[in-house]
Order: sequence, then structure tokens, then C-alpha cells
Amino acid sequence: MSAEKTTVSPNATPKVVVFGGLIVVAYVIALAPPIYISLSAVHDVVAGLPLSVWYMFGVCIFAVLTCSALYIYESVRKELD
Amino acid sequence: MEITFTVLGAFFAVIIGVLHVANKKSSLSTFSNYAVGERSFSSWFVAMAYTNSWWPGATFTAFFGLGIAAGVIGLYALVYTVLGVIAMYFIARPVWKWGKRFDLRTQSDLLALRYGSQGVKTLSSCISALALFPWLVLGLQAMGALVQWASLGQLDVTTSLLVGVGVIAVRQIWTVQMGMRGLIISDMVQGIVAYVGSSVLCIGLLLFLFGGFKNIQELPAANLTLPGFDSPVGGWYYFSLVAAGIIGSLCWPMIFTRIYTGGSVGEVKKGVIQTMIISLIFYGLLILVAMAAIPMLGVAANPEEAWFVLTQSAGGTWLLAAALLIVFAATMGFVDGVVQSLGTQVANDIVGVIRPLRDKQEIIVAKVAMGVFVGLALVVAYNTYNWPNLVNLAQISYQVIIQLSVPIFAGLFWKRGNRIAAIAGMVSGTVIAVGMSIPYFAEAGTIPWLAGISSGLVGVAVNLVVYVACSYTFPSTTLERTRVSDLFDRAKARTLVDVDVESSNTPVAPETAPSSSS
Repeated sequence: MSAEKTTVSPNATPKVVVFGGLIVVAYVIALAPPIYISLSAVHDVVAGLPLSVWYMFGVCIFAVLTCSALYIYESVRKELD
Repeated sequence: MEITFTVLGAFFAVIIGVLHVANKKSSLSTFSNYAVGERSFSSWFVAMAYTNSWWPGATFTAFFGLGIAAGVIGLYALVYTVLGVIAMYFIARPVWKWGKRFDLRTQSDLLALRYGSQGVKTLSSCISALALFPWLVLGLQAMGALVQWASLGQLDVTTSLLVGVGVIAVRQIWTVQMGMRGLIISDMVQGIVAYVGSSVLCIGLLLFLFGGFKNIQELPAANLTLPGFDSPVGGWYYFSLVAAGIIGSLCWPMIFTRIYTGGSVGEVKKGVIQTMIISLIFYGLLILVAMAAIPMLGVAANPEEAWFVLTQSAGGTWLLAAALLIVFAATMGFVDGVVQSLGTQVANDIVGVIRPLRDKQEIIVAKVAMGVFVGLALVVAYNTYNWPNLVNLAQISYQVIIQLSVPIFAGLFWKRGNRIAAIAGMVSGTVIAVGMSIPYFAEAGTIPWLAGISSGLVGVAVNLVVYVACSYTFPSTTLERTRVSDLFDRAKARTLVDVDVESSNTPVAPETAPSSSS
């Protein structure tokens, strides 16, 4: 038999609320028809690209940043195993 | 023709060389080593293996063509990829820990463990094997198209297809021989060529051919807007594309098993972020190039071949050779992943359930199954090369495979779900998805009178309702509830290895999965 000690990750609720909330926001921005239809209809050029293109990239960049922040948070708290 | 074939041949030789070196160092004494590569890979290998299995050669033909034909909607694949892989971050802990502890090798192994049922295992494996097969055929056909382009039109379709599938068949010798380890090592080399290479090429095209984003700024509104409720496809069409992609991302077995191959939960999670970044950069640049190429009439006339036309016109045969090399690397990685997955599933989830096998027997059955699938796919690829509906069939297979999402995700986060719910949900969802796809085969399962919602999403909704209803109607026994609670506790726990255990250098023997309660 293995000799293991186990502890349950403490203070999980704030992490779930904050990062879970941010990820839900990413899914809503990406998937809600009123949002994607209206934002993709804006074609003003910003930083060389139309805003509708930035909308698509923006959803992805937001998701990458959220996930990266979560990874850093878990890494600092040594929760990654 | 000499230039293109020399470049492809040289790269193929490099891959074979890498596999030969890796083969000498690998240990295939157990089926686990063969199927999941000893659970030893770092995050970059996990990320590149995921990417190589996720973005096939068709990315540079079908998806690049979509970017040219329709504009900004071509980025939908990037949105669903990035949002879909997030799920891997959240399931990494239970899946990797259960995988390590109970020696899980496939997606269906996890379902068998969670639901304590060999029936769930075999059913889910059959569904995914059926859904994968059309993609294997498409992968082989893509090789044929690639060879025809490499010959600069001098080889006919039949010869090109035979040469293309022949190359892939030769490559499978090492996939069959080395299993997952060979696959992941070659994925790294192929991935660097395919995705880093295409990013460099796309930056070059944007800078030197298109002079930046000028063409994109001047595109008509139709190329820059997602379909609304007044469009022919309906306002839910885009939602349906992205939602199905997100739900389906971890239903594909060759994607799911990437979790098992990581060296730890942390490596898998880091690999998720690296996968997102690689996809964002390479696919984002690819579609920007496609959108910039829209005004070039010669390119837009045939979107599926636009990647090759564009590169050849921009830089002659050498740049075309680079473009072909990128597609070649991506296609090989994808086909290898599918073949390895099919063989492992047959041995582990189907034959192994009917008749328990020893490790060596499982490896032999997996190798034979891989050979049979490749042979069968070669015959189908040859006979359906000019059948346009094969793409629709492959897309409909997506509607089927997303039915696995309910038992996977609900099972990982909801203790009450049980084997009756899993089987009833999968069967009802699959029947609905297939039944509703048949009348809309030409639309690849997209239903016009539901404003663009796909048959697969309707199936998932029914699947989920049946799953929840059955979980409440047919509650698990006390013994089963205790077993599942124990599994969840194991996943939540942060294991601190005792100093004595670590210093003893004795591996902890994995427990066997609980026996079936069915």
C-alpha cells in the first residue's frame, strides 16, 4: 500500500468565483447572438484591422489571459500537483 | 516537380530518422507504455501533440478556403478551439489522477471507471471509432491532393492518390510499431514545421505580398460580418458552429488521451495554455492572409486550392514547396493520431472487454487493428475520391461524437450520474443526431427551421435531459455512491508523497479499475 497524505485545496471558493466568472464572461461574449451579431457589424478600423476582426481575436485573447492568470495563481499557491 | 518532391522526401526522411532514434530508446513492455507513452511528456510535447491532432492538413485547404470565400467567419474555428481547450484545463486534475492511479489508457477507460460499467466503455468507443473513420479517409485523400499539387499537375488523380496513401501507409509502420511515444515525438517535429513554419510564411506574405492589412480594411461588409437573423443560414448558425466545436473538442479520443500523456497535472495545464497560444498565432495569421487574399480573383476562384495558388504565385516553386511541406506535416500528424487512437480503442475498449488480454496480446491486437483500419481507409479513399458528400459525412460525424460530451463532463463534475443515465443519454442523443441529420445531409446536419442549430446540438440537449432524468429515476446503490464519492475525493485531494515512499524508489502499483456493476 502506498503511504500517502492528502489535503483538500483550501480557499477554493474565491478562485472558482473569480476565474469561473471570467471564463463564463468569455463564453457569453463568444456565444450570445445579440453580442456577436452586433459587434461583428462594426467595421471601424483600429490598429490596422476592422473591429469585427478584433472582436474574434479579442474573445480568444481574453480566454488565453484568463487561463494564464489562473495557471499563475495555482502555480504560486502550489496547487498544480 | 523535382523541387517539391525533394523537399517532401527530405522531410519524410528526417521524420523516419527521428522515429528510428526514439524507437531504440523506448520501452514497450506494457500496453500502458504503448498506449499513453509512459505518462512522461512535458507541456510542450502535450501542446504540440494536441495541436497536431487538432489542426489537420485540411486547415490549409478547407478552412483557408472558408476564410477566402466568407471572410471573418473563418475565424470561428479559432474561437471554438481556444474556448474548447479550456475544458481540458479543468478536467486535467481528475482525468490525469484517475488515469495514473487506475492505469487508464483511453477515453472510454475513464467512462468505465466513472460509471463502473464495461457497457458504457464499449458503447462510447464504438461511437467514437465510427465517427473517426470518415476523417481517416479524408486525411488519406488530402495526401492524394497534396501529391497532385507537388507534381505540378503532371500526375493524374489516381496516381497521386496511390502515391499519397502509399506514403502515409509507409509512415504507419512506425506508428504501429511505437504507439503513442513515436506519435508524440514525431508530432513535435511535424508541429514545428506545420505551425511555426506556416506562421513565418504568413507573416512574410502579409508583409511582402499584401503590404500589411490594407486589403482587409477595404473588404466589403459581407466579408467582415457574422450571419444575423436576417441571413439565409439564420442567427443561430454561428452559435451552432462554435458551440458544437467547444463541446466536441474533448470528445475526440485522440485529443482526450493527450491528458494521459503529460508528466503531471501541472504539465497538462501548462500544455493547455501553450496550445491556446500556438493556435491563436498560427491560425490567426492564416485567416488574416486568407482575408487579405480575397480581392485576388485568381485565388478566390477556387478557395480550396487557394493556399497553393497563393504561395506559388507569390514565390514560385520553392514557396509552393514550403506550403506543401506545411500541409504534409499537418496531415501526417493528424492521420497518425487517428490511426493510433483507433487501434488502441479496438484493443482496449472492444476486444479487451469481450476477452481480457495480456499486455503483449493487447499490443498485437492494437497493431493488427491499425493495419486493418489503414487498409480499409485506403480502399474507401480510392473509391470515394470524387464523392463530394464525404465532407458532409465527416461533418455529420461531428454531430455524433459530441454525444460523448454528456457522460464525460457530467460524469466528471456530478456524482449522481450513473451508468443507466450514461447509456440512455448517449443512445438517445446519437439517434436524434443521426435521425435529424439524414434529411439535412446536404447541409451537414444544420437545420434551417431551427435558425441554423445543428442536429448534434439538439441531440446533446436531449442527451442531457435523459441523463439527468435517468439519474434521478434510477438512483445508484449505496455501494456505488460510496465508490463514486471516493473517486471524486481522490481527484480533489492534493497528494503529498511521503518521504519514505519517495526515497524507497518503489513505484506504487496502480489499482485496477473497480469491476463492472452492470
